[in-house]
Amino acid sequence: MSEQTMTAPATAPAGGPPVLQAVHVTKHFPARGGLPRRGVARRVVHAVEDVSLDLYAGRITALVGESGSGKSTLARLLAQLHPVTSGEVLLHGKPVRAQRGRAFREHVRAVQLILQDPFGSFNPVATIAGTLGRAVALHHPERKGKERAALVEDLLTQINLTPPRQFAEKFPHELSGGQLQRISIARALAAEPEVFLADEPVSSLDVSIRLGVLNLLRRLTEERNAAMLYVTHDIASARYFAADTAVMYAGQLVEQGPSEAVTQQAAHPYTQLLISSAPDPSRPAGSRVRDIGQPPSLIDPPAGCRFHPRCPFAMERCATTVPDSHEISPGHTTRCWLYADDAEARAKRAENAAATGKAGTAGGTGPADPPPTPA
Amino acid sequence: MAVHAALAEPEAAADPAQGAARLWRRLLRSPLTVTGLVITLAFLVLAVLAPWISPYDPSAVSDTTLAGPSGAHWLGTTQNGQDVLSQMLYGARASMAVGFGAAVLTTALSVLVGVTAGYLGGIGDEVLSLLANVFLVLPSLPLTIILAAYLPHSGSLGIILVITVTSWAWGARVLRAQTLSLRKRDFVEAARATGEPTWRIIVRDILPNQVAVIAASFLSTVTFAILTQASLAFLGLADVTQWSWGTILYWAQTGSALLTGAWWWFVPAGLAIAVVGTALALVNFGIDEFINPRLRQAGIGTKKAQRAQVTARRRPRVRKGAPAVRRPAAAPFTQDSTDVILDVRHLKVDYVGDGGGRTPAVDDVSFTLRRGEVLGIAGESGSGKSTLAYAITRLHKPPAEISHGEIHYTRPDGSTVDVLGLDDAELRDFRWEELSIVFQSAMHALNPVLRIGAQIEDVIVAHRPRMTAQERAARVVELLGIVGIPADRADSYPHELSGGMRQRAMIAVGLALDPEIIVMDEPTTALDVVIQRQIVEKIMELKDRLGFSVVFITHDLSLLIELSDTIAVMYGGRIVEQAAAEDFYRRPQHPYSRGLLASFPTLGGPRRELTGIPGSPPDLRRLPAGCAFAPRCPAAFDACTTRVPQLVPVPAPGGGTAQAACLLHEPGAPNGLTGEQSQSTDELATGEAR
Repeated sequence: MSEQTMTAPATAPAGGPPVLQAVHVTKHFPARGGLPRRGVARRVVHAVEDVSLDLYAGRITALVGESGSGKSTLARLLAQLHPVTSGEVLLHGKPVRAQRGRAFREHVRAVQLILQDPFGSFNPVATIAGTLGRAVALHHPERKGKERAALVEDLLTQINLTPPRQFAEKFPHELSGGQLQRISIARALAAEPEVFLADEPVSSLDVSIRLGVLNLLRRLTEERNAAMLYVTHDIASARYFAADTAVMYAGQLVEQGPSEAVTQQAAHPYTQLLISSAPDPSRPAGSRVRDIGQPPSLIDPPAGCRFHPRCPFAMERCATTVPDSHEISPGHTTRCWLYADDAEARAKRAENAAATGKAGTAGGTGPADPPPTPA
Repeated sequence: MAVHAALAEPEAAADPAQGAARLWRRLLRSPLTVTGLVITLAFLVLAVLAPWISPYDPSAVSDTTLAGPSGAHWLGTTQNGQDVLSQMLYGARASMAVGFGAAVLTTALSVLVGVTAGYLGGIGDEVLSLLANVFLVLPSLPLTIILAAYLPHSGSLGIILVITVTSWAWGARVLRAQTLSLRKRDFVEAARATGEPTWRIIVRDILPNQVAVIAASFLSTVTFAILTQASLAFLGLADVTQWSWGTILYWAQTGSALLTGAWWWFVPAGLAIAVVGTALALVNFGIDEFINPRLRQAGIGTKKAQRAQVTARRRPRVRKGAPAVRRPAAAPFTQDSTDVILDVRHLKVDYVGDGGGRTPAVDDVSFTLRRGEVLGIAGESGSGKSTLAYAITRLHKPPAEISHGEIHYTRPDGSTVDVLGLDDAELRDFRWEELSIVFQSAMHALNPVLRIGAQIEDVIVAHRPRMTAQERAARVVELLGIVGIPADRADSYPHELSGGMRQRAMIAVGLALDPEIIVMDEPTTALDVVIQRQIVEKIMELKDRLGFSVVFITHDLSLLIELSDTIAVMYGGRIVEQAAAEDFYRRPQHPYSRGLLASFPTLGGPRRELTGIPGSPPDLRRLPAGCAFAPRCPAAFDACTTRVPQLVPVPAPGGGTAQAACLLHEPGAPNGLTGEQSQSTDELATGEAR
C-alpha cells in the first residue's frame, strides 16, 4: 500500500485472543500539596476509573479524549510505567505487574510506547545513531559494533529515512518534527514489539505530514501483525485510522465500538459533543450541541456518570450510579443511562435523538460530499 | 516561537564535520574560551614543571635581600633573600593542587548526592536534601577557619577536605533541581519506556544534559578553593612552611613588604590568583555553547539587527486625528465590501543572519482586510504566517526585519496611517487602541504573578491614564462579562484558571480598548476541541456584536474554513492562494491547497480518500528556485523550477474570488487548470493519488 494515501483503517478481523488487555483498571495518583490531616483521607486524583480495553494483533484501536481524560495515563499503565491502583493488565492473558528489573524489560520488549512530542523525546546532546544504538544495544545485546550500526541503518530505512547514513549522524535539532517522529517509531521498532502504544503520535506535526506518519504506523502494524493503541484527541483521525474507537471522559470509558459506528452513530452525549465541536467544513452549518461546561476536577469527581453535570439529558440516576454498559449494535457499547430499558430513559433517548438529528451529528443526514452550499 | 528559533540559525544545519576538526573549529569560534583555556593550561604546566624550571630552591636564603627584579632574580627577592619567582612556581603547585583537587572532590560529591536525590525521589531524596540544606546554612567561613586551625598540619590534603566539606552542598542542590526537571522530560520517559536500566539513563540522559552546570560548578569551585587556600594561608592557618601563593602573601605581610615598598614580593602572587580566576571565568563563559549542540551554531548579532529592524523607509506620519470616531453599528461583512481597513502591500520580512545573510520569511505578501472581515491565514510551521502576524503589528523582534513593503491602516473616520512610519509613541497608541493581538500561549503571555483583573487593568491604565480607578474596575468587569468569565474570577491568578479561561482572559486583554482589528495567532491551538469550539464561537459572537475585523492565523485549515470569510494560504513565505472561504473549500486552485484539503480526515459524510502531500515543508533558508512547492507538487512541470509564480485572479464561471500563485493557471500550461476545468476537491484528490 502506498505510503501517501489512506482510505480505510487497518481492519484485521478481531478474531483470536487479545494481545494486551486492561481489565477494570483504575489509577489514582496522590494529589500534590496539602499536609495529610488526621481523619481525612489523603486526596487522590482519580485519573483512570474502572477501564477495560482489549488490543488485538494487526488491529488499531483509537483511544479518544480531551486532555486530562486519562487516555495517556491508560497508555502508560499498559506500558507498566505506572503501577495500577486496582484491576489488571494482561499480556497474552497473563497478568503483568512489572515496574522494574528484568520483568519490566520483558514487558517493555513486547509493548512499546511512542510519545507525542518528537522534539522533547530525544536527548538533545546525542546523535540519532547514538539514540537508536542504545535501543538496539538494549534489545539486541548480542549485536555489537558494525552489526549494531547496520541494524540502526536498517531501522532508519524501515521508516523511510534514506539514505540512513545521512540521518544517523544528525542531532535532534537538525531534523524536522516529522522526521523525528519517524525516528521515535524506529526506536520502538528496535524492540520488535507486539504492541505499539502511540500517544498522540501526530498531534504536534504539520497537517500535510501527519498522513505519512500515520500510514507508516499502519504499515508496521499490518506487516508485523502487531496491535496498536492510537491515543488521540482528534476523533476524525480515529475514524480514518483505527478499526475501533474508545472514548474517554474524565477517567471513564464512555463509549467504544467500531470507529465508523462511534463517529457516525455516536451514542453517548459526550461523544456527540466531541464530534459536534470538531471543526469540519463538510458538515452543514447550523445549530450544534451547545455547551459551556468544562471537564470536572478529578480530585473530587462527580458521583455516578462524570459527565452528568454537563449533560443536557441527565437524569436523576446519572448523578448517583455509574452507568452500566449498554450495547447499541454488535460491538458498539456505551456507558450511559439513556440506553436503559425503561420509560424515562426511552423518553430522554428520543429527546437526544431529536437534538442530535437536528444538529446533524449522529449521522443519517446522508452524504455531505461535495459539501452543500451554506444557506 | 518555533519559527523564530528555526530561522535564527542561518547556517545551522551545515553538515557536521568530523571529530577533532569540528571540535577545533568550534573552539576557535570563541576566542575568549580559548584564551581562558590557554592561561589555565599554562599555569598547570608551570605548576607541574616547577621543580625543574625553578632557578633556586624557594626556601634557600641568600644575601641579596629585598632586591627588586633583576637578571638574576626575575621577580626579585624576599627579606631573607629567597627568590620570589621560585616561590611563585612552587606556590603554583600547591594552589593548583588545592584548587583542582578540591573541585574534583566537591563536584563528585555534588553530582553523587544531587543526581541521586533528584532521580530517586522519595525518602532518599528527603534525607539527602535535608543533609544538603544543613550544610548550606552552616556558616562556611568560620567553619573553614576552625577546621583548618584544628586539622593537623597535613598540608594541601587537609585544606582540600575542608573546602569540600563546606562547599559541596550548593552544587548538590542545583543538580538535584536540574535532575528533577530533566527526569520529567520526554526523552527520559522514552528511555524509561524502552526499559533501560536506571544507571544507564542517568549516565546517558541525565548527566550529559547537566554538563554545563557541572562544569560551571567545577570551575567556580576551583577559583573558590584557590582563594580559600590563599586566605587561610594568609591568615597563617595553613602550613606556612609549604609554599603557596597564600603563604607568599603571608610572609610578605609579616615582612612588611607593603611598608617597605617591596611590591615585587606580593604583586605576583596577587596577580596570579586574579589571572587564574579570570581565566577560569572565561572558560566557563564558553562552556555552555561548547557543550550544547543547539547553541553551537552561530549566534545572532542582536545589536545590528535591532538597529536595522525597520529599514523600510519612514514616511512623514499622519497626525492622529480627533478622538476616534465610534464605528457604525456592525454591518455584516459581504465579499463585495470595499471598505478596506488594513492594506498590506508587497511586504517582505527577512531574518538577518550574523554574516549579513538574509532569509526571507515573508516574501512579497499583499492582502487587504476589510471592515468586519475575518481573514484566515493558513500555513504550516515555517510558512511565515506567524512572522507575518508579528510584522503587521510591528512586534517582530530581531533578527527579523521588514525590508520592503507598506502597511496602511484606515481609521473609521477615513484618515489613513502608515503603520511602518509610526514612531515608538505612536506605535504604542496604534497597538491596542486600533489593533490588538491575542497570542497562542495564554499561559506564557499572561504574567503569572499578577491577577488577571490587574492585567486587563494594566492595558487600560497605559492607554487611558485619565480614567478613574472606579471606571477602570467597571470596565474590567464588563470585559470579563463580554468574554464569559465570571466577575469573581478577576482576582484569580493565571495558573488558577483553566486553559480555556486563560485564553478568554487574553481575548479580554485584546478587547480592552475596543480595537478595530484583532490579530489572533493560533489562539486555540493548545486547547481541546470542545473548549476551542466555545472560544471560537465566543470570538464570532463578539465580532458580530462589536464589529471588529479579525486576522486569524492557524494551521488548522478545517477550523479556518468554518470561521473565515476569506482565506489566504501561505507556503514558503508567500501567499499561494487567496479566496472566499466557500470558494476555497469547493474549488481550491493551488495544488498545495488541494493537498491540504485532502490531508485532514472528515467526520461528516462518507470517508474519502486522504492523499496528503509527499515530502515535508520547505526550509526557508534553502528555498528551491522557482515555486517553493514544486518539489512536492504532483503537477509540477519544467517552468515551475525556474519561475516564481505571482498571485493572479483565477477566472471562474460563477465569478469566483480566487487568486492563486501557480503557473498551471497561465495560458499554455500543461493540463492548464483554468476555472472551467476546476473539479471538486475529491475528484482532484483522487486524481492526484499516486
